[in-house]
Amino acid sequence: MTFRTFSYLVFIGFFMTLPLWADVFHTRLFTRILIFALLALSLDLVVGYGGMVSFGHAAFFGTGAYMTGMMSLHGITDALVVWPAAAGAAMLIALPIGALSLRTRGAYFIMITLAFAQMAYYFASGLETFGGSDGMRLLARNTIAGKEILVRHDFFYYAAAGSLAAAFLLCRRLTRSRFGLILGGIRQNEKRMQSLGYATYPYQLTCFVISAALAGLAGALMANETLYISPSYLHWTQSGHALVMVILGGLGTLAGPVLGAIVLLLLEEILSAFTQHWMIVLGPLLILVVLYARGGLHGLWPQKKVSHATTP
Amino acid sequence: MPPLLEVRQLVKRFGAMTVTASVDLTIERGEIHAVIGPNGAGKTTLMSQIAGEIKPDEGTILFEEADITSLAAHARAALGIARMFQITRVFPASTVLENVMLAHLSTRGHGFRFWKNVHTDRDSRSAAISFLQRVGLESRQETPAGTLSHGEQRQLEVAMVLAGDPKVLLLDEPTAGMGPEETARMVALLSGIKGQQSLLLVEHDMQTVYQLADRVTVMVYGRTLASGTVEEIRRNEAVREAYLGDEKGQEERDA
Ligand SMILES: Nc1ncnc2c1ncn2[C@@H]1O[C@H](COP(=O)(O)OP(=O)(O)OP(=O)(O)O)[C@@H](O)[C@H]1O
Ligand SMILES: [Mg+2]
Repeated sequence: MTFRTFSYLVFIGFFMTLPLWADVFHTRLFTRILIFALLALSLDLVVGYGGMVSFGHAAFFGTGAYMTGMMSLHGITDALVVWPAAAGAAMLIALPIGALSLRTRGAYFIMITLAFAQMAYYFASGLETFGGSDGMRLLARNTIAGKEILVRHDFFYYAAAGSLAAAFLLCRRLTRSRFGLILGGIRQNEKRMQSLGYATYPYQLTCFVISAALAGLAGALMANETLYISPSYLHWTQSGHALVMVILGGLGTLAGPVLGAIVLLLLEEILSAFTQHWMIVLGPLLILVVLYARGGLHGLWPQKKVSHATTP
Repeated sequence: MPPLLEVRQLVKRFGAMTVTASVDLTIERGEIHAVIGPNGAGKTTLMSQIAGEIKPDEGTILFEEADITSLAAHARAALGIARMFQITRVFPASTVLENVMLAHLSTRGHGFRFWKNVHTDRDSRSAAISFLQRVGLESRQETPAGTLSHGEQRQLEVAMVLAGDPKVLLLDEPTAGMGPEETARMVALLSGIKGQQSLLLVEHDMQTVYQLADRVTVMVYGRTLASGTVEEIRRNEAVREAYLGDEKGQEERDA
């Protein structure tokens, strides 16, 4: 067994058994970490694989959360309906946002996705039915096929872990498919792909919308974990936070954003216990990673063979 | 039989400078048509207009008798107009094989296939490998294209354009920046497809042009100075004076 396989097994074993030995506080902490890992994964699909630096993913995260809240107001509380609906709502929002944003490139794309997310933020702040800028409490977690099992934090942990695992495997297939190959080509040289006969726009838009679905699912999960929705889900710092996870962990890999989410959130947790000014410690640390570990933390791991984004 | 591709009275201006001045040009099926001319004559710009990356100000471009003047680059590529760039533009982070697969799959239906692993797909793989064999790169399949030598990247480019199964190939200085060995290899490769593939070739090296071309068009300052068979161009006085001066001297010395 290689070190690589071994480390993966330890990693998976740790997360599979965590609720069995951890207390509620830590189970819930790691539940949130897994949900943010899902958000980071979805963002990496767009940024790392698609080459589109979206600074507006909070909009889709928030859409998922608000969809969950809206459905609960209408008495629809089953996860089997609500979570797919949250993902679907995020896709519906992402379609026009992506369609318009993808008319631009580079820095303009960053700015326009940010602008759309800010619009969504102010829109949510004005929704009086959902408590305006204060947000709204949810009564209970979603049921699964009518059963209230997610009330238990350990079961909810597994629901989040399962969602992340499913999303991870989905992304794995996606990035190794013909679609993924084409996406990698567009990321590297869009003009060249066009001269090969590819209309690049629909591929990028599709990637953007698929990614939004996963972000929406993450939003629904987070609404369930905290039993609270508010415009803070859609705040630009949320988008920035997710971007930091992706860059810290390793752009254009699937394990990278998951690793980035775990490390960043744990560091925040630990440092904030020592000092209020944990940002001052974390900031330079991030800069060091960006400067000295180009492939992010995941890039420091022993790699299989040649590593590049299209075959992680 | 009408020509495969026809350029009529094409005009392109960059500000006050006319880079393409009423250029006419035809490419017959199966012929190699070379465009020569000094630096800045407008050869690349002409090629970009045929490929659809630059919009001409006036004139028409016909492909298989259809007007394609206002068609986007990717639509022209889909019709079978493939371009190889003067500057190498492979996908550096992808493997050599993936590069060719991308080119090959562009002719094989849409790319919205999300599930099947494309890297283990036998058909796409073996097709891509056959093109790598044609250019002599089959042993480099799994190498990231960005780490190939310059000459190898040019070979990869040829494999990629061939993999697109084009009706006409636009090659902009395929031997630029190559050593003598690599150049010889590229010329041999192009001789190999001569007669089977319609080709527009921009090339500085006269020996290469004489070896490969069926017809030659000479451009100077955006205008066509002359156009004809290799023999006609060799004999053309205006061309000899304007462009082949050195070579004329060379021939006289040889004689
Ligand atoms: N986008 C552009 N904007 C302004 N001027 C341009 C542009 N592209 C090319 N030119 C100018 O047009 C002229 C023709 O350029 P072009 O690249 O077509 O020449 P060329 O014949 O391919 O030259 P070379 O042999 O050096 O490749 C040059 O003077 C060049 O500076
Ligand atoms: Mg040129």
